[in-house]
Amino acid sequence: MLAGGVALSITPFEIGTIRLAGVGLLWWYGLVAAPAVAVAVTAAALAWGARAPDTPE
Amino acid sequence: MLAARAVAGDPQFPLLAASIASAAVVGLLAPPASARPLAPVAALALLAALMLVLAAELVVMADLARSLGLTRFHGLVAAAVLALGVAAVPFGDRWWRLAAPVGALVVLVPLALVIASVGPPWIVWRDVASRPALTFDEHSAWVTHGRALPEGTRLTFDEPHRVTAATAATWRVVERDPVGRGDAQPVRIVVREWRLNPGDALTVRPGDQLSVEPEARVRFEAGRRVPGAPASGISWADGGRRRIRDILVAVGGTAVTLVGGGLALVAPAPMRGATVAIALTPALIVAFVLGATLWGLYGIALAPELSLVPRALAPVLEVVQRVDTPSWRAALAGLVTTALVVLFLGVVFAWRVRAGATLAGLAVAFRRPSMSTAATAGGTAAVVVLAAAVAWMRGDPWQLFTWGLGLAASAVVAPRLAAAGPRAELVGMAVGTGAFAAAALWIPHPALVAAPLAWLAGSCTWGERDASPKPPYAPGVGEAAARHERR
Repeated sequence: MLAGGVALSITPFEIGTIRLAGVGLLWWYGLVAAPAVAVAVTAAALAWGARAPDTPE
Repeated sequence: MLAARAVAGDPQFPLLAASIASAAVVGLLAPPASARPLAPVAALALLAALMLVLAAELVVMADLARSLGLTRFHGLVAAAVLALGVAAVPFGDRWWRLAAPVGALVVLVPLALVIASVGPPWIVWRDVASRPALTFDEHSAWVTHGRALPEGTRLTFDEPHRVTAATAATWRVVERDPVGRGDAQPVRIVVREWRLNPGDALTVRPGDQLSVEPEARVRFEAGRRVPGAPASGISWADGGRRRIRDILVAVGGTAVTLVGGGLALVAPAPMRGATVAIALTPALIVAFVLGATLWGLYGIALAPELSLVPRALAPVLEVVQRVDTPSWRAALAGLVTTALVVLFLGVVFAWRVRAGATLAGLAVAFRRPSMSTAATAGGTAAVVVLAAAVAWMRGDPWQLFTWGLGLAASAVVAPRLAAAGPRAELVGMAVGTGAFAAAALWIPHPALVAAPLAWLAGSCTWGERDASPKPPYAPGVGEAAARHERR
């Protein structure tokens, strides 16, 4: 997630400053896309852990 | 703190917000506790990190008190007493657990009203980003009545500005006049002091630096640039051009600090619970991060002069005072203040659970398997008092917060990531703590240096290695701590 943000920051032609619906692409990525993916992955991982059977240590 | 950084125009703000969101959710995914307890010195380092994080929270509450017209001392004492109350009352955990999510949700309710009143965030963002300059509004209290600048503030002006004294005070202006020609122009520095009475005005020039007595109120000129604010809306939105190395260091340092600290301090999510709660916990965290960002966005849109007083919660209180319907303002301010106090209590409760678990692990390390409830309460109360003392001495909550997380990442998480056994972990902890303390004096992201060094020291130390093939990165403090957290 963060690597994607860094890539947007350092790519040539300042791609991160391109406006989508009036808002900068880096802002969409950092505040909407990346957190949404993080929530989805985390919820999926927690749900997977909740469903998995207990395994002896 | 996130809202204040949005107002200040942090050039890497979107990635900072993403780092905070990811740090919180990564912490949720950590295994609940590792089999091997922390060494006593590592547990002490974790306690020091927890103390710094609590000190940051206390400073934020002191800032809230100042924004409400009280003194910093009173705010700090009130927050410390509340924290001591939570630390010393080890029952009602079921209700305390609800405080943080309830407070976070209630803080977002007035934000919904602000959005309905001012406009959707993407429209507001576009409006701010298209402003040629961030200027004083004619209705701002800084223009109409005047306000006091924080102690030690030095304002550097980018354009001529007529500043008026609202109260009698001594003003100091540092003038920098270039002399001669050429690229490397020498500068003649002249310091002038004036005693101004209410209504007296002073015109400063570009490059002049102004400082006034503490508590002296000043008035600015409507339509002029806010000194210290980003140069323009575009500069605020896009952050200006920076070198790739600077971006990598800033983002890498923030990520190591926040994610490493999150692994140490965020309580793991229960894997056996209601599915709804499992799905909602990370969503609530991210919603709160997004909400804090929006408070900052509406803060810079409605009151760009907020950057004059960089207090953590100033954007929240200032924005509700700018709502169109005057009768709502007092109610919204009361609601926000109450929600922030409830949120603070919830954060202190989560902090108490972590501090109690660390103390329990410490007791085990000293061969005292069970720690009484009174002893745990006494230990956490002592850490609260220490945090209040640190908060009184140090006023920057963001620095305290990142120091706490960075210390936890360097001294606790990185050595355990090496998975090289108790002896190697001890060496890694010593290297991580020493490197962090030394680097904190020189660089803004000390964990970026200290955490890899701690991991390297742990990996290269000869000794009995961990039998577990899994990296035991969750720095749990053993079975006693796990019992404490379950309790």
